Formats: sequence, C-alpha cells, structure tokens
Amino acid sequence: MTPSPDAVSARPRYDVIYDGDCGICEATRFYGERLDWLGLFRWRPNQEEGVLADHPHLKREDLDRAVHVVGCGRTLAGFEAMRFLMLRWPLAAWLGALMHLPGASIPGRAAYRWVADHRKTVLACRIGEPTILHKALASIFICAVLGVVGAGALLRVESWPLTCAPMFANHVEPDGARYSFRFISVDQSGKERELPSSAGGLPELRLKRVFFAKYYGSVDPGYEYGGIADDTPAKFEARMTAFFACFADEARKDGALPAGTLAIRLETIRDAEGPLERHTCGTYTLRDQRFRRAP
Amino acid sequence: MKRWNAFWFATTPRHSIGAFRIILCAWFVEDFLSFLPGLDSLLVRPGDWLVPSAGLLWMGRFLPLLEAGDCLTALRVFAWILAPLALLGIGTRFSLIALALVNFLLRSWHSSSVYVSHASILPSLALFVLALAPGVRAWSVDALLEAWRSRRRGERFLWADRLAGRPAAVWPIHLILAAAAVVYVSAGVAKLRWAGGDWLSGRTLQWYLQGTAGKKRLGDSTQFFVANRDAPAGVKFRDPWGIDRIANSTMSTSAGRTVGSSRALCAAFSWATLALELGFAFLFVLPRAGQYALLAGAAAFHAGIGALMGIDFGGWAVLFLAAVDWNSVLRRAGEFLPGLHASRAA
Repeated sequence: MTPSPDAVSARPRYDVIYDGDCGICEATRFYGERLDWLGLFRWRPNQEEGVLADHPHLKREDLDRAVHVVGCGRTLAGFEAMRFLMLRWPLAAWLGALMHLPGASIPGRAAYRWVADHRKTVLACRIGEPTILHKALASIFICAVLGVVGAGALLRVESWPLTCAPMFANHVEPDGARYSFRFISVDQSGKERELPSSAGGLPELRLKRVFFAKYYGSVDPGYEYGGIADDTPAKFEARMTAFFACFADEARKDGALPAGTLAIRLETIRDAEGPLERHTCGTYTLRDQRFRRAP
Repeated sequence: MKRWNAFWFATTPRHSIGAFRIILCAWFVEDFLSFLPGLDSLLVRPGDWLVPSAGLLWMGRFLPLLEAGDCLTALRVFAWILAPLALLGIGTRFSLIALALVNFLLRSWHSSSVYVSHASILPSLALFVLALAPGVRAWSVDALLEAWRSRRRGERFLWADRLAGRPAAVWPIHLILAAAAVVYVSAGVAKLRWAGGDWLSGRTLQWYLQGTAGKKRLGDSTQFFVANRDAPAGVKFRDPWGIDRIANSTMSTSAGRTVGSSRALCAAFSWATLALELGFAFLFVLPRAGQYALLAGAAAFHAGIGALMGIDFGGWAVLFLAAVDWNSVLRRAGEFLPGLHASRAA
C-alpha cells in the first residue's frame, strides 16, 4: 500500500544514530524525543539491524565514536550533530544558536571528544546506570535536602521545615513547676472574668505561643521563640500594648469580651506542688489603649 | 567519590520508588482529610499574629498572596486534585512536583504561628525527593498506558516487568532514610543536651505525661512554659520566675497518664527512646535485618507516642516503608492471583 502524501510528509526527515549501550546517549535520546516538537528526528541505536544498510556510507567504528545525524543529503557527526539537533529543538534553539557562534566549535568539539572517549571509562556511563549529569544533579539535591534537615539541628533553628528536634527535651524544676498565662477582663465594678485564650482564629495553644514569642519575650535572648536582644521594660510595655490592642479587637469580634470591660489584666501562673502562685504582670486599659506594668 | 557513588547511585531491583509513591501519596490523601479543612480557622488570623515560618520566608514572594484567603482556598483545591493524580500516577512527574510545592506552601503557612508541625516535615521533604526521583513512574497509570501502547505496536513483554520499570538508582530511598536518621539523632542529642539527667531518670517524660493533670488548675491552658530560675535578676522584669521557653504540647491519653504515674516506667520508656533515636546513627552500617529491626522499632515507637501522648507521627512511620522490596511483594501478589484461579478451576 502506498502511504498518503500527508503520511510521507509527517515522517521524520533525519535519522539520529546513537550508541544504544551508552547511558548518556540514551538520556540524550530520552530528552531529545521530548524536545523534538517538530517531529524531525528518528532516533536509532547503531546496534539496530538495518542502520548500516539504510546508510551504507557510514562505518560501524565511526558510529561507535560519535552521534550522527543523517538525512536530506547531509551527514553530521559529534559536536556538529548536537548543535544541528539543538537548533531544531524549540526549547533548546538558543543553545544551538550559541553553539554556532564563531569560535564556539573549538571548545565544543574538544568537550564532545572528551565525553565521547571517556563515557564508558571515567564517566562509567553504561545503560541502566545513572548518567553523570543525573549523578551531579542528584548529588546537589541530596546535599540540599540533608542541608535543610541538618541545618535546623546544627544551627538550632526551630521553624518549619527546619527543626532542631527539641522533642520534649527541657529542664524540669525540682518541684515540677509549669507556667502559663491568663487574660482577665476587669469591668467597672472591679469584677474579673477569665477570657478565652483563643482569638482571631488561633486556638489557645497557638495564641499563647504567638503571644510569648512575639510579644512577651523570653529571659534568654538567644531563644529562637521570644529571645529579644537588649529588651527593656519600656519595650515590653510597648509590645504588650500592641498585643492587647489586637487581642481586644478580636475578642470583641468573637463576642468573647464582656460588655463594660474596662481593662484586661495579664496574669502569670506558676503551677507546682502546693497552691498556685499568681503574678499580675500588668494591665491594659481599653480607654487609653495602653498597657502598664504592675509596680 | 567511589564510595559516594556506590552508596547513592547503585541500581537495585530491590526497591520500588513507584510503589512507595503510592504509599506516601495515600498517606497524604488521608492526612489532607483533616489537615485541609483545619486551615479554615487560620484564615481569619490577623496579619500581626502571622509569624512566618522559614518555609514561608523562602517562598516570600507568595506571602502577600497567602495572607489573602483566596489564594489559600485555590491552593487547597489544587492539593485535592493533585494528591489523587500523584497517587494513581497520572502525569506522574508533573503532579508530584506540583503537589510537593503546594503542600510545602500550605504546611509552611500552617506552621506560621510559632507552632512547628514536626510530624509533617519529613513526609513533605520526602514528597520533593519522590518528585525528582528516577523510576517514580513505576506502577502508575502513565506506565500502564505506555505499556498498552507498546502492546498495540506488537511488542511482547510481561506486564509486571513493564509496570515495575527498570531498576533505578537507590538514592531516593537512601536520602529519605538518611534525612530521618539525621532528625532522630538530633532528637536524641537534644534530649541529652537540654534535659540530661532529667530525661534519663524519667522525670521529663513523666512531667509531660502528667501535663494534662495541671489543666484543671490552669483554666483552659494546654500550652505550658518553663522557666529558668537562675536567669539574671535584670532580665526578670516580666515575672518573678524568669519564664524562658515554650514546652512541647501533649494531650496525654488515659494510658499515658497511667504510665506517667510510674517513675520506673517513664525511665524505661525514656531509655528506650534514647537508644532508638541514637541508634539511627548506625542505620546504614547495620546489616539488612538490623535495619529492618531499627525501622520496625521506630514505627512501634511512633505507635507508642500516639497511644500515650495522642500525637500522630504516622507519616514518619510511613516513610520507613520505602525500605521494603515492593517489587517482590507485588510480583508475588501477581503470582498468587493466577494460582488462586488455577486452584479454583481445579
């Protein structure tokens, strides 16, 4: 049956003949087939039966040494074949154009020759094994992933996805004390009521962490969550003012701030053996929107 | 260099990154059922209370978009679409890369309130490893379609061989296990460094397991803090005790509270934890049986954490399944099925 004219024109115009036992060549074919949007090339391993019969002017030893592009009366080998291919792959055409610049062929040919001569010795690139490019890129990626995982541990950074993996490791006081915070509303009659410690979409656990790390501050200036260098009582008051302004707004939106509230008192609690110990850190007054430390 | 190549780039038919893709993506689909709807409450978080995590800072240019809820909603839709595609292996490479990025952004955003979701770190990194791993299209719909096309062209092959693909370099599996080993060893070192004798005596673990006991006395508190009573007086202007650190949070189960009532049991669990975590330093020098034992021990360890502390580290245990020879398992399953048919016919 005679193929239709359309089918004939749709056929690839060039044969790309490569070493089918070479991993680098196989990888080049893999990507080359995907980049050949114009459908110009047919990739054929030089071990395939019929390659030499189709192209009797080629010699087996030449095909073992370099990739060949054959078709439309042209035969190109090695570096010349590669830049011919690249110029016709739309995504790589810019690289093909660079390879055609005057003088580019001298280092290009040398580099191609070196890779071709060493691909099965130094580069150890046999079929089924990762190519040298794969190994290089994968090595960079391996170092990056282990770097991310190791950096948290080495630099003591605790911020997703970095972790220094504290994982339940902290000093416990002899009496097993644990500490917490309470936000207490105070109305005109002096009546107090504990406010829910969840606001603005943050549950209690997260809100108290944000409160401690960003506003309250740690006595350890080196701590990643709440370590504040050169902290002073004045700076502390300013941060508390900023926090409670936002907290009061959010609590009001949530309907959690009782009507008639004049102030919010910040209480710190120490829970150990025996009765709770309470300490009033200060009070935020809603009228003048200011937090004052307790004397 | 030779040892580097031998360790990372040896090719082996023993591991199947394609089968592991199915397992890890199945875990993500299951996890998304609770994780993605849970983001709703954070959507109304005031900007002032957003404390960007390292991941969110790295993706800094997305930050303004992320603060607007619309972008987050779109990302969640993408996550729902991409996770099943990656699981089934449809547009495998693309769907994995996109899923890894979307998941990274969502998790970074979720952990941007001074809360590090440790349980999601390693699975999220493993997703990136999978996305770039060779052989990830094995056991995928993509591979099935490619095999079907080859069969139509007249090629003859065994379906199992074609779906399993060629043996691939072992680096993705080793990288996932190495990353896990680094985190475990760091956790072990941190326990010795920060808790020291308190950890070895079981006091620290007991303190955590009994944590919820204090809940009744501290109102609605589930978040505790610890203090450094020895801090200089000059920095103790906030409170008289010197509060200095956020404690990890747990919701001890009744089993946890039972264990927490015995110092001896807590000490035994603490020693076992330390031995396991520091044992990961030897993961790659152990014989294969030893490796499997260590990984099985770690999976049991996470099951124990879930049972005692109510913390789900299931995603980490899933990572250990990367070490299983899935190609053998799937081939044997394939052999078993015709055998079953034969016995029925008989």
